[in-house]
Amino acid sequence: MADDPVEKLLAAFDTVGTPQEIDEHLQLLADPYVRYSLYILAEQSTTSLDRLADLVAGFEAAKRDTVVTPPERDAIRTRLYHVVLPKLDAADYVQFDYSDRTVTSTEDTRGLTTFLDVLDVDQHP
Amino acid sequence: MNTLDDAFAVVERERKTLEVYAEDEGVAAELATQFSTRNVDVTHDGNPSRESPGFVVVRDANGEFRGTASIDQVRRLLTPDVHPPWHHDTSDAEDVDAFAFLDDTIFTSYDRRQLLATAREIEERAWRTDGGSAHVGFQKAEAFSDQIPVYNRFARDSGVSVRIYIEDEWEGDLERTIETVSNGGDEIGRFWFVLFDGGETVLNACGLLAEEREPDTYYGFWTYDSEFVDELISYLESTYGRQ
Repeated sequence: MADDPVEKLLAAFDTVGTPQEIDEHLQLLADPYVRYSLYILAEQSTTSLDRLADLVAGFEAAKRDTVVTPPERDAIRTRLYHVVLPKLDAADYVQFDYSDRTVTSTEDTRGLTTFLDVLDVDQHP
Repeated sequence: MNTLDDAFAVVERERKTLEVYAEDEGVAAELATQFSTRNVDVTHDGNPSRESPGFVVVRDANGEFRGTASIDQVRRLLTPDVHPPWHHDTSDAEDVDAFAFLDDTIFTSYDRRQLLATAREIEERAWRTDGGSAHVGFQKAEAFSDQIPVYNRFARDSGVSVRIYIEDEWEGDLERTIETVSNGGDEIGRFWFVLFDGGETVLNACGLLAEEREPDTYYGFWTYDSEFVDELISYLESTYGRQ
């Protein structure tokens, strides 16, 4: 039953690894900025912190169906810089170059994105 | 402002880019049509996530982020009749500021017919206002001849004072009260303009400035920003002093 979502999820869990790793994934993916960053990196494997912040702000605007202003976008950038990217970088899910402020996807980014695809958390109606 | 070219530099500096992140390319095409005369470039960048309904990122001429909105929100901002931008749901001053360019006072076009229609609209507005002054440049005397009756009528039957600028010599039949600047020189020969100061109400100020970039090919802008119109008129008055 390859089309059964539960089967797909279990199969994805298998490829992701141990229950501990699955927990780690789920914890990371609970953060919407992590999910948005992964979507963005799946399209463009290297991107600047600024562009990432612009597009994460866009995802927020789309989710809330509103406008996101430059001050709000700057707050998003700060959170990406101080919280989200260091966390993803430490787990090798992305490579974050602090000096030139670029983010590059790694092999593990793909694994996490696949996992995310299966979870389908951001499916809009 | 030291030349009329400077006015185009102002317009370029104000130009925005709208990056459309949507799965459907049609959305970008639809927005490009709606923004066709705005001082805006529309690009389509695909959607990083098929799960997201899509959004639009606005950048200024330096590529700086100016705001982002869901596509539906942009559509709502674009139809102020249904949803005036100053009344929309998330109405706080900043939201409106971020998308102020939507009711921007600058429009651009390469379409000569569009520019002509706008020039007629400005003349119409001056006629209805029945006061104030109009500064009009038709490049060459020959180009002005079609509009002579219109401006003679302004002079005879309205309170609008008219000043005409032409590159070459003018020897036509004009009402006495129409002021003419002939032998205006190269700059007057390159640009076509219709500027109206709005009379007593600055809200009525409007102006069009177009450059003939190649023979019979024009690029122009028009604006309802009274300060900008005033700047253009001041420049013309100080450069092509009253004769």
